[in-house]
Amino acid sequence: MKNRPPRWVIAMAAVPAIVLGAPLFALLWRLPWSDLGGALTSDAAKSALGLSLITSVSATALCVLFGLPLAWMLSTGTGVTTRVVRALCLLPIVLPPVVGGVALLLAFGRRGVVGQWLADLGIQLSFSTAGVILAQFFVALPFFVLSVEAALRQMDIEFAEVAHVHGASPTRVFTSVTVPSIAPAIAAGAVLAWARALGEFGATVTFAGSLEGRTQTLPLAVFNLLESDPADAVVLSAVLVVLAVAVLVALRDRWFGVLRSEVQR
Amino acid sequence: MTGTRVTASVEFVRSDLCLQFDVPDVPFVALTGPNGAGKTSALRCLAGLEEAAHVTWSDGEPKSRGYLPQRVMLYPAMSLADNIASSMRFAGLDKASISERTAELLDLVDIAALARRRPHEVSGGQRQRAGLARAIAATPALLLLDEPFSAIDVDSRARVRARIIEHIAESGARCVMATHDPNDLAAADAVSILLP
Amino acid sequence: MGIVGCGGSSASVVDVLAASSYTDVADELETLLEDELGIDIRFSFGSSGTFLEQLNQGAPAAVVITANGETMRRLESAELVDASIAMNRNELIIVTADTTIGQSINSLADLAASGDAVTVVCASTAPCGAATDQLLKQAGLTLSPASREPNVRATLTKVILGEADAAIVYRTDAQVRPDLRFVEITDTVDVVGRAASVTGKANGANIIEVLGSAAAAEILADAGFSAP
Repeated sequence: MKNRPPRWVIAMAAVPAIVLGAPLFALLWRLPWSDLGGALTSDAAKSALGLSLITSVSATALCVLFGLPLAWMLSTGTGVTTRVVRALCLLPIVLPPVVGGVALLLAFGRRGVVGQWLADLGIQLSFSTAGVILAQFFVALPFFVLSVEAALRQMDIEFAEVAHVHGASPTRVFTSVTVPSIAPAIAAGAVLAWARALGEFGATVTFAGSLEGRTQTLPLAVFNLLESDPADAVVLSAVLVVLAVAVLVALRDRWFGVLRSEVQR
Repeated sequence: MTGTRVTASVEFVRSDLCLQFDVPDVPFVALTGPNGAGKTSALRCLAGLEEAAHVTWSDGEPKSRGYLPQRVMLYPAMSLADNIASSMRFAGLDKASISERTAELLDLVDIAALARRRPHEVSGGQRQRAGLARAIAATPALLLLDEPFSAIDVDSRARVRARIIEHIAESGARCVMATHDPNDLAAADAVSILLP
Repeated sequence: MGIVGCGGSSASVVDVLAASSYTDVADELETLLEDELGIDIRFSFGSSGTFLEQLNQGAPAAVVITANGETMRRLESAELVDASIAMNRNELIIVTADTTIGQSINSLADLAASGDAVTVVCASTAPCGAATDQLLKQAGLTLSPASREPNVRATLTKVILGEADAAIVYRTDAQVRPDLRFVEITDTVDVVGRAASVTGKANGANIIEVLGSAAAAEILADAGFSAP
């Protein structure tokens, strides 16, 4: 019996495919191809693109650096602390981004709970590029941690046991055995986090503000352009989409290739 | 059978298992018994993997251990060669020794041609050979092997077994092997039978 | 986007799209319009710069109130609205926080010269921002703001929250918060708020008539908007 889904399933699946595909199609269809050069090379566009890339990659790097230990902790813990920390981790996904921005201001703004101490040291995170990175880190971290924690829980502990018997310390087991085994999940989590960071708007504009070259990332630039030059806004939007799709396509085989061979064991 | 001298005494109680046995003081001990009697658990106790177990060692805990579980468990992200080298790296040996010995071991278990392959790319028997090599690589004081030749084809089994036993003899290690294979039992210095 | 007709006939709620500077007078204008015309009015706010695109995409507003003449002119050129009327005049002013840095600013020149002050202004695409750019150009000064916010209320909020030491906003926005410190700008730039009926919308003309009346002018004057 062939494993083809029944017609009603295909029909229903077509609905979200259209809802997701139509805007993408429309964006590329309505692209003002003749204006492309001018729109992409304008100072605002170049600085927004550069800033977006720098901040999103930095935020992603932070997500990986701090997310790995966090995911490790969450995957091995069972107590109340673990559950509380996990809920905290997932909070940014549930919070509307602007609310996240407000919360960040209350915590790290000049008069914020933590921010006021930073202000005494002469550090102001709001209105700074570092603030953009912080806002992106805040919204992107849950995506990374979720992906990695799931993979860690799925991992067979016997791998770690063998390494332990052979004399590896817990840290050594983690770096030499565990992390390489879940590399596809780490990559997937990092890409998801990066995409989320790249597209972040609400928390960024609320916490870090909007200034060309310092805090005006691509989404903020697009928002700004909508008021003055919608055609340029479409061009920049297309850049964002093309970037995202290119990375997803490039990495897709890497993840699925290794996953498939794991299953064949 | 055995003399009164004992290497280790194991006591392990779990909801489904009650284990109590002594490991005779000979170089090569074969553990056998029906399925479910606790052979794997016994090895895990000796490996230090069961926290609830009471293990008493006559001469103190072994300084190093080599372990081959029933499911082999080669690290999936590493090549066979790197897997073999892993136990040496964890033991802190230097790079030169590691690469020299890895080459030796690959030859010893006849998988030199597969050195750069990943575990999922080779057969069960080849994985088991690599697992064996990994377990003995750092010349551990105590070698724990769980049905170590079960996946190797019958024709090659004798050769591999002979080489491993030779290695054990040369290194002065103790080996405890869980097995069903009568050839393994015949080669052992002592046989312990676990009954459920 | 307003969803028209929640629980009533589709003609019962009429939307008015207004620049965010009108946020605080909206309630009173709403009451005035409802009393005079007997229809249900709903105000929504945003930056005047976005109105062109919103109306192009079919926002359901019957009337549009912009913060300056330039944005209204664009709507008129695009033939999205009928002829507009002038509602009020509004002028730029500096507001500062109660911090030591904030208190050291006493003029536009002080603001431009201050290296420590964290200043925010509106984005150039918003009327308030365009006016700020014009103001600085006229005065021959340059400013390095920490951020250019999407609309004038967002700009004011940064000072209220304590994130910024100073901002350039409209007088009417500053008056909403008497606890803030104002600094007048000599030779300030002013903008003229204009209102127009969206072409083809039924109640538009009636609403414009009321907005141009003496009663409306009084409401605006009380809030600090000067006569056009």
